[in-house]
Amino acid sequence: MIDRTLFRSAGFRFGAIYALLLAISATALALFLWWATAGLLDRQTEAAINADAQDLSERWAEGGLASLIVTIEGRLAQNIDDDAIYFLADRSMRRVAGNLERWPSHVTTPGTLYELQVMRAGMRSLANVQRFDLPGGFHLLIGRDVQAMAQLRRLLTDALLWAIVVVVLMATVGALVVRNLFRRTLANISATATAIAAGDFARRVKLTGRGDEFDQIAEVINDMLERIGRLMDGVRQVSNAIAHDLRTPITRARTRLEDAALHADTPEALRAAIERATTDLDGIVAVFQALLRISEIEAGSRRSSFTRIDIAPLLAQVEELYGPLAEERGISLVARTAAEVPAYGDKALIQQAVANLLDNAVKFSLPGGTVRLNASVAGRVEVAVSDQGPGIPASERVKATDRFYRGETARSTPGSGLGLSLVAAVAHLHGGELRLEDNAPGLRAVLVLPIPEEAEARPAALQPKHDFI
Amino acid sequence: MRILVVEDDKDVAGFVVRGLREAGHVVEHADNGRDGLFLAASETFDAVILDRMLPGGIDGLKILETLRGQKNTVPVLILSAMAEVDDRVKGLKAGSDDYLTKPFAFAELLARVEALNRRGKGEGPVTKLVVEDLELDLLSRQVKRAGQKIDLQPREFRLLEYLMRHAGQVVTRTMLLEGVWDYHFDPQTNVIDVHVSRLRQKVDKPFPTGLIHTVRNAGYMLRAEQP
Amino acid sequence: MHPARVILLAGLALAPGAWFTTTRRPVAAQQARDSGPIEITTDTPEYCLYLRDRVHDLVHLAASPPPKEVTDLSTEGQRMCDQGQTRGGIMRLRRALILMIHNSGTTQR
Repeated sequence: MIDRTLFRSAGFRFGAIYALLLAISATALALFLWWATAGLLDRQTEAAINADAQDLSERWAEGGLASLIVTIEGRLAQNIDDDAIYFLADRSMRRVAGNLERWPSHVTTPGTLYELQVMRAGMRSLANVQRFDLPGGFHLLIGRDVQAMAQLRRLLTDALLWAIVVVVLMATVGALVVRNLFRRTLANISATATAIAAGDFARRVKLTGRGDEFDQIAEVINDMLERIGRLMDGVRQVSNAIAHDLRTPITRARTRLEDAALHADTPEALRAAIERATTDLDGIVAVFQALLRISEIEAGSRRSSFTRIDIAPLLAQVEELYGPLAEERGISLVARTAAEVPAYGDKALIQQAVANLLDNAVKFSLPGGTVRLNASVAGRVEVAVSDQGPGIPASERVKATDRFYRGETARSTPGSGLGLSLVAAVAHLHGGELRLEDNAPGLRAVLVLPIPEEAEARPAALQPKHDFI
Repeated sequence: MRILVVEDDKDVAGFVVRGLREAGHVVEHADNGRDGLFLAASETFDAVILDRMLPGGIDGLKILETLRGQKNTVPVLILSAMAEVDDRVKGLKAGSDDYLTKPFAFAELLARVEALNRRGKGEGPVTKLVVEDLELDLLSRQVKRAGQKIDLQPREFRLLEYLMRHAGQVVTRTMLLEGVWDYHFDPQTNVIDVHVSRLRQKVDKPFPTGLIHTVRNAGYMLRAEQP
Repeated sequence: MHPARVILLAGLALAPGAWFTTTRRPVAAQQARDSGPIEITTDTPEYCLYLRDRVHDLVHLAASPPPKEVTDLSTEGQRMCDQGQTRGGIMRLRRALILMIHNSGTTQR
């Protein structure tokens, strides 16, 4: 019972293909050899017979029957190789000249090569003969002894058949070797995959160091695993954050409603409680929206719609949006951007990222402070938003881009703490980064993006060089 | 306005239908795709509020595509729990005129639906917008009130233009962000309010009557003051 | 190209080759069943004698004495025939005959 899975095995297929190709090549070689040797001999015999026939027919044409008979006998007398066969017969197939005892009854059709068994001095032999019909009712048989050739052919055939058998054996062995080679190379990858499927996410595929196609596959798989690991970390983090930071507003909303149900004694009080609860719910929805947005950005699918854009007008737009608000709060908003800021990416995402930064800057600035928006292109695109607010202490800057991070100083201001997280996600999606620096005083947030030429050249799927959380 | 609401969630549908009727509109309701398509195709409406997810095999987008395929140009606002930008784009590409994600404030829905009405009325090219004694000339980019010229920054001009095009209708902050700044996200601070108050300083304050009104819990409206 | 297709084409390419080498053979005889092998009359002791006579004829007709080789060959050939090594003898006699023909300059065809 042949196991079906055997045929589905790619290793078996590779091995089988190798074996078949080898067998076919060997067979082709054998056939060619056979054709070149035994086949050649056959053709030579036929050619000799035909040349003979040509000659003899000229004799016949020149000198008639008598001349032909003399020629035949002369040829036989000088036939050192002792391989010529002639038989000249009359109308009734009686012998007129030649060295056969009688006409072979089976040789009936002229122009066809026949095999003829002959007896030479008590030994059997084999000849190839051909019949020629002459005018006047005479029949001429011309042939050559091919016993030696027949033996050679038998020898050759046997040898080649055995050779093919040997080749088939070698092919089978070779096929097994190829299959095992194949298996061994894949075993590494499949063992890693199995371990990962069983839950060990730290496993990676081992590279052989040869840099060949299998190593390339292994590298891609490892990169994918890295990414999956990071995404899962992100998910875990979000779950924790949701559990922690979202329960608070949800609990608050619930408490207020419960309190109102129990204690509100006027319709106005009830209405007020309901309105507050609605606002709380809206706040929670906004947080979820932002979380979804960040996840969508991190998943990377937006990257497929990236194009070359100039973000200078976009920056002007955002600056203009926040201008009045800054002025209202006594904050001076100063923008200095290059006339053209080329980038490669998604306009809406970059717009939201810069707006988030400006929003934060204006939110945390104190009256009299200055918020600066700078954009420059020098090897990389840098959009910097700086404020003179409380800033973020150096020790917390790494965590600042975590979801739901809110510094101690920010507890009192509205906001979900997702702003920087989103900006970081957008930066990473574009192949860049978000740098947080000390503005002495205040915070300087720099959104760094690669220039279009660089960004377009990088392969899409696995860009991020950083662990984003 | 004659409005068709195609929404399968009983609570949301009831809430919306009641609210719209209270606002003075005539409302029809279908709670599944098949009925919704039938009603939309066989009767005339001034606007259709269409939920994306509908039972019955025909979802909101399919209804929209069918209507547009029949050359039906009724203004459509899509309601959806799906908030991804791609979904919004998909909805707009299918032929909708506006897109609102759940959960939404009723005031927002009402404002946008009424804005659709204005849009549907094919006005032809307009060179001047006039509300009471306020004149906005689109060609010369000049604004005059009671004959007096008002100096506006370009963005202020566009803001005023948007308000005037929707004169008499509620305009929410989100609509302003989208329409004037092409900004589709919710800023955390009240940036819009400051812009509107700036505009008010220039357009309302120097004059006896105010045209730009705040609508509580909704947004703004530009109209002549009621006597 | 798909490996299966390559193999199929290679196999097909072999087919004409195989056909050529195996089918174009002389028509095998039913002869074995019918009548058995036919005797060749130029491998018999009688033919030995015939050849010897032919050589002697040429020797007598020749102007000069025959070369030693001719004499050696014909004697050797006759001896072998007498001893029963018919084919060997006939071959030597044939060689002697050819030498005589060339020697005497006559081209007997």
